[in-house]
Amino acid sequence: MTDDIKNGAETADIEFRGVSRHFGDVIAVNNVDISIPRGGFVSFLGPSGCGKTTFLRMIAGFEQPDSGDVLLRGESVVGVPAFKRPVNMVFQHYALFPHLNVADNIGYGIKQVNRKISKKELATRVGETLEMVRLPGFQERNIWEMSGGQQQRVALARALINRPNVLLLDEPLAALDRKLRRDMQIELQNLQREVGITFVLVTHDQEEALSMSDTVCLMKEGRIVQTGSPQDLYKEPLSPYVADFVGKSNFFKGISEGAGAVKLTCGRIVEGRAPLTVELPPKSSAAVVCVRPEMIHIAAEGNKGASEHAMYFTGNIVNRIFLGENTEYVVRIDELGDVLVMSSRLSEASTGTFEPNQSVTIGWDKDATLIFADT
Amino acid sequence: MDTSVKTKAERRRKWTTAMLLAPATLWYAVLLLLPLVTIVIFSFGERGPAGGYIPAFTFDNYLNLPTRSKAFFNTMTLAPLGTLACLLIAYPLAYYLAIVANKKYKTLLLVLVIVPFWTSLLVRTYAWIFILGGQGLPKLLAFIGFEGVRMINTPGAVLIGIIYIYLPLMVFPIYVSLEKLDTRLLEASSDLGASPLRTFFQVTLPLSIPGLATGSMMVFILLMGEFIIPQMLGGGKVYFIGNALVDVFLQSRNWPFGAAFAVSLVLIMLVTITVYMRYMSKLAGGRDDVSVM
Ligand SMILES: Nc1ncnc2c1ncn2[C@@H]1O[C@H](COP(=O)(O)OP(=O)(O)O)[C@@H](O)[C@H]1O
Ligand SMILES: [Mg+2]
Repeated sequence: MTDDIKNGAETADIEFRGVSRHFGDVIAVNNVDISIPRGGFVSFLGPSGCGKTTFLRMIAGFEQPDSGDVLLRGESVVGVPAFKRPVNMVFQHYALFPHLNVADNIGYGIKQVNRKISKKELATRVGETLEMVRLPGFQERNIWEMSGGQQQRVALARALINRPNVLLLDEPLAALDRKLRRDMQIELQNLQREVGITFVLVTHDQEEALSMSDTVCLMKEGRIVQTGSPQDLYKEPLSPYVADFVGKSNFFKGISEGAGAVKLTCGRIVEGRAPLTVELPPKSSAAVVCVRPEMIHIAAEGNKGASEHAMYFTGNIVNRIFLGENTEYVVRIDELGDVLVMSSRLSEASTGTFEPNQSVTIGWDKDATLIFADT
Repeated sequence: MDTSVKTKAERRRKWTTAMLLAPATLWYAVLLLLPLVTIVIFSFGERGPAGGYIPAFTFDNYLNLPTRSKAFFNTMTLAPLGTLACLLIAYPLAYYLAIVANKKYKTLLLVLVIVPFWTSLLVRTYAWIFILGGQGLPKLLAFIGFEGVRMINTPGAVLIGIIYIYLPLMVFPIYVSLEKLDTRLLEASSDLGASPLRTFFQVTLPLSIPGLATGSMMVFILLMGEFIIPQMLGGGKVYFIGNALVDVFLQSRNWPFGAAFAVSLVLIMLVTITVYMRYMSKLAGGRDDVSVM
């Protein structure tokens, strides 16, 4: 039951076979099977405490599994200490050596594996790596003289200099401000293509995972609940949990009518589809309907537009959140409760903006409706 | 107008600072500088017929110092040796307390380290007189076949006393600097390919230099002036500069000669400490966030 990412099982850089790790009563990683092929950018996404760091630390060698097998390039590394593994890690708060300057931090890794390296060669390698992370000429700087973004690059350079098979990144951008985070996302992607090695990133930030990686593994309570491309996760979530964690969603409960229809608690029947590879819930069983806020059309009551959709409801705006490129409205519908609707500036050009307490009609299409079994 | 307000506030702040520093300044001036100056002046004077001090200007007191070279020799060997011994014993202990020990028992273990301080130094040293004396360890050794081992009144006894008394003073600063050590740095080192031993020498040790330096400095300074331990466990045979000072000042009442002793002790300490601090801050990688003392 291995979750093969693409079909690269043979050349897998990392493989987990039924791996579990407990801390007392807490199961941090629960029976995980995964195979990560060479050369990709894989993200592990999940809420805080779901076991991401523990997962990464088992690859690095700081934690050993209680059961199961961890393989790097086909060889079991269970019991192999971190300093003997061909992987390197960018730590959550960088963990740069405060008593060493930038060059010595970056050169640290080489000096461990090649103790006889000449000063000249060491300087060359450090220089090259600094250029790679765009910090040329920073050799003599002290760590505490660097900004957060610069420290991040030093941490990257330090981890890359030994040319590991795999680079592990634990929430590498969490401490950066928004603008810098954006820039670093692009740079990390470019860097991964440049060096061509596998990047494994863990994060609780869905935007980070979706924007950077080829493959996203969504985790919940120590398990991997879905593996796929960012588009797959967003458009074809396997469960309400995924739909809720990746992007925003509205959920409405009801009873399945079979054949792609659900009778909501209010009595209205909505039509929709099951995500690819997921079965529709059987007739008369509990079901959940999921609609993305950006797929919901909003218009002033009485205006055409929203009411042309397969499903439409009328209610009052209770809240408006201006986000710049979008505006979010919370619409209170008698039949559904509060519904989150996202309106782009483009659509606002035709519908205008709406004020709190205004009566509006919202509507969406059958294609925008995903049906899950309610568990 | 704005600037006048600012300068007013500034002046008030300066005044407050000065007021707050005044007691400490006064303390140092009266209790440190004044005696020091007095001692320096005394050291060039002459002993009166019934002891004490007669004003004069002579180097005789300094030239007579070599007659007590034994005190200098003992202090200059046993003080560094005692510091080193304390360091070598305290470091693993502090390492264990800070990094290895279970968090639950940490406080208890730390309390155990300071428990000896709860009884008087004199009492504890008396205990050692018994342990190292004829009825103590030597008797035990004789019992298992090692006859005639002498312990009390040897440099070894003084060293044991020094280690016993001064160990906690060394443990604490090292403990504090190791406690602050971010264990992720150790993981980072391991991640980059360093074995645990190399990690210790390349990360742990350099980052604990401040504690190590502070501890050594405190122990060394106090040892240079120590006189109770040599007196009690050295039995007048292993005496320190401190003992000589007591002797000269109180017994012979030769104040100028004692003053010369004191001045030379201060000078020796100044030189050693300066050299030591230079060396330590170099070891710590010249970081300006590392204050050695
Ligand atoms: N060293 C540890 N000792 C005890 N519990 C731990 C330890 N490391 C992690 N845990 C627990 O395991 C769970 C997963 O932690 P972690 O892997 O850090 O999650 P994440 O990185 O996703 O936030 C959490 O409940 C955490 O409290
Ligand atoms: Mg984490």
